[in-house]
Formats: sequence, structure tokens, C-alpha cells
Amino acid sequence: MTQLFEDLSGLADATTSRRAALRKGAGIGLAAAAASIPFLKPGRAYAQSTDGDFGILNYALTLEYLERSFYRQALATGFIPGDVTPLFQTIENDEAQHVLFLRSAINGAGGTPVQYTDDDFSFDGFLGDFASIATLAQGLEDTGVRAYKGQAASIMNKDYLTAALQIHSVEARHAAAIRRLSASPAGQGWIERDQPGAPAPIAAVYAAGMGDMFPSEDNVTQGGVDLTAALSGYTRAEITEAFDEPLDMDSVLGIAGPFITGDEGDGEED
Amino acid sequence: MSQSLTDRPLPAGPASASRRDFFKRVGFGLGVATLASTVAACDSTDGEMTDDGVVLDFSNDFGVLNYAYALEQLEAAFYATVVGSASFSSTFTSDEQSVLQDLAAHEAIHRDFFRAAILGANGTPIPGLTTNFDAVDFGDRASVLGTAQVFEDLGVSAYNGAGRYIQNPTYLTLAGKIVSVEARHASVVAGLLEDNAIAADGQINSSGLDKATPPGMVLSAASAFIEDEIEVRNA
Repeated sequence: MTQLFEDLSGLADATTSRRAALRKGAGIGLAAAAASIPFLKPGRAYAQSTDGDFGILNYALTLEYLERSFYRQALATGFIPGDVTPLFQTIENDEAQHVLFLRSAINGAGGTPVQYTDDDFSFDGFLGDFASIATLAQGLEDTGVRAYKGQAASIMNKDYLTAALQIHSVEARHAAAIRRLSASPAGQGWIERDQPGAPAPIAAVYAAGMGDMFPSEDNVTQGGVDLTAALSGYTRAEITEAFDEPLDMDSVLGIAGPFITGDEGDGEED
Repeated sequence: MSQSLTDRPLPAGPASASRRDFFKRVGFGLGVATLASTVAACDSTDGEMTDDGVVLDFSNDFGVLNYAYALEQLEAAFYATVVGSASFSSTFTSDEQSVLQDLAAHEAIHRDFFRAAILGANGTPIPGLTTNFDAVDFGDRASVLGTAQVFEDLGVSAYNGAGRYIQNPTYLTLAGKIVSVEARHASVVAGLLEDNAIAADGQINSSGLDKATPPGMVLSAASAFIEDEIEVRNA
């Protein structure tokens, strides 16, 4: 848990730099806002936990709030075509349920869940047409998959771990369904290499994180061995598609942070 | 037959910092000689064959890895049959063929990876399983995709249910790298069967959670397609 606590201590006193970073405007990027999200203030969630699980759950909850807000704002634009509106409604509902589930889990264990409203998130630049909406949806879902995966080995409580895995795979279902909307060949829901053709605003989603444990989605080394050498009969693209990569908390927050424009804890649950 | 060199299990209980550091140093072998001897000193029993079939001991990470290996064998064999069928190109659209060929490759990679991983860590992979797909009509789109959906959803719920038994955090993360790909498969297959669907009915509960199924129930469901007897212990 050492790394987690280092991450948390970095978060606690970075409010000033966060505001500076956010003034640059919303957008995905590994910006200076990386370690500047205030969802884990001293005295709130993680300080009540002896094992760090509350911190991870609140991190997950923050990402779920962000996704929920995004789908609600996206549905409100009217730009989502009728034939795929049911998919976006399904995903919005799942994200809303994830928020409720995580809040309940944290409350039930005696922790304090973070609280955001839909207005605490701004997606300016991504809500002007359906293509932009679909692009950001894919980026956020793929980020969510990497984020949950990146914390699995740090969750101590086995029931929390199982629940996180149950959410993680639903996020992956979302990610694939969104990806299918624009995939070529049609229907492919997996990440080929580090998606060199990704639209610029979401390219960072597929890049390497911090340290050896978080390679890019182009990684072919699993368990210490290069599978392009160890296995025969498969293309590099197929090998990269067959494994999704985890991402560390700082890198995830570098991607998600610029969209968090409001303050945690100053509004009512909605 | 017993393939175990030693019989000392991995330490039980939640991952400790010291154990995590240990595994960080040791890595995850795949054929690295120095690692193999180190891991062998810590671990051994795994999926073993008895006269009655395969035993998977979940008190040991190799038992869980062999469980995943068994399920990946099943999926890989299924998709190999799908794409190898004489009626493949006449049964599916070109886009569907592309998807199914990808699934065949991914599952075969998972299968080969687990075998190599278990061997590389000086464990013993279970033998190749004998599959039986007599119930599937490989010339019928709905039969193939319906079976694919069963296998993919079963795979997702199996990994979700097995995660809590994995003691080595490196293995847990590796399982995570694979389960999300299985979930992507499940979503795409659901979408091929029904517009806008991401899962079969009932697969995602009212809290937005995927299933997490205990290994005994998973193997019971899979037994219709596997000739070998597989027994799970300590899970």
C-alpha cells in the first residue's frame, strides 16, 4: 500500500496546482493536473481506513460520477442517434448504479464516500456532435477499464475485490459496445496495439503509465516474457488485443482530472 | 500421476507488502531458469491428473491458473471449430467472420499463454481437455453465436469469481488483463445477437454488476462441453 499512500499524500496538498491546470480548459491529456484531484482529502475517506481500500473505492466512485455525468450530459444534447440511444441509456444507468453501489459499500463499511453532482464535470469540446461524444465515451470507458485493473492487486478486502471485478468487466462491456460504433472492420471491440489511429484527444488513454507495471496497450510482454517470441502463430496485433493493460492512479487522474471542474462535497446527491 | 517437485504451498492470507516485494523480485517465470528454481522452492501442487480426472486445488495459485487454462482451452477449441467449419463463410457476414476469427486468435493466445506461464513458473499444466460440441450446429448462426455468448459470459463470471482466490498480485493483475478482453468479447457477441445489447439477460444485476460465479458452478455449466471430469478443491 506504500505507493497508494504516496499517491494520496500527493493529492492532499495539490489543490492550488489543480486549479491552475483546470484553467487551461477541459480535454484529455497527461497534464499537470495528474496528482491534483481533491477527492481524497485528509479527514475524509482514506483517513478512516486502515488498509487503503476506502481510498481505492472513492477513487472508483469519482470515476463513476464522472462517467455518469458524461452520459447524462451527452444524452441531453440530442445528438445521439435514435438507433443507438438505448445503448447510451443502458450505460448511463449502469454508471448511475455503480455510483449508488459504491456509495452504499463505503457507507456500509463506515467510510465516507465522496460526493459530486453532475454539474461538477465539464466536457466542453466533446458534446458538439455525435462523433465527439462517441470518441470521448470510448476514451472514458477504456480509461475506466485500465483504472479498475490498475487497483485490483491493491484491494485488500476480498469482497471489495470481487465487487470491483464485477464493475470492471461491465466497464469493459461498455468499452467494447462503444468501440463497435466506429470500429473498422465493423464490430471489433478490442484494442489493437496502442490504437495508433486513435483520435488525438484520446490517444493518451492507450499510452504507458508510470513505472514498469503500467506499459502501454501495445505491450506484448506478459509475466516477463515477450509473447511475440514465446508463442507462435499469432500476429503482434492479435497478442496486444488479447490483453488489456492496467493504468496507475496518477495517470488515470491525468486523463480524467481536467473534466472535474467543480468541488467535491459541496452539493447534494442527485 | 504426480508432477510436484515439492509440496509447500504459497503463504495463505492477504497479500502482504513483503510478499508483494518478493513476487516483484521473482517475477512471473515463463521459462526463465533462475525464476523456475526460486518459485519451485515456494510452490508446487497444481492441477493434477488422477484416475478419475483433473483436480484443481484453489488453495494454490497453480490450481487457479489451471482453472483459467481449462476454460481457455474450451473457448479456443470452440472458436477453432467455428472458423474451421466448411460453412463458416456462408453462415456469417464478413464483419462477423472478422470478429469470430479475432475471438479464435485471442482465446488460443490465452490458452497458450497459460500453459507457458504455468510451465515457466515450474508448475504443471493440466493435460489437453477433450471437448464435445455435439450440441452446437456450426452451420447455424444463432446456434454458434448463442453458444459463444454462453462461453464468454461464463468466462467473465468465472474470472470474476476466481479473483479472490489468487494470492500472487502479479497473477491477479494478469487475470484482470484477460477478463476485460473476455468481457469485450461478451459485449460484441451480445451486440451481434441483439442491437444495443451488451450482455445476455440477467448477466448484469440491478446494481450494474457482472456475475461472479464460484468455480464449482462454472465447471458444472462447462461440463456439458468437456468430456473430462474436473474437480475443484478449496473453493
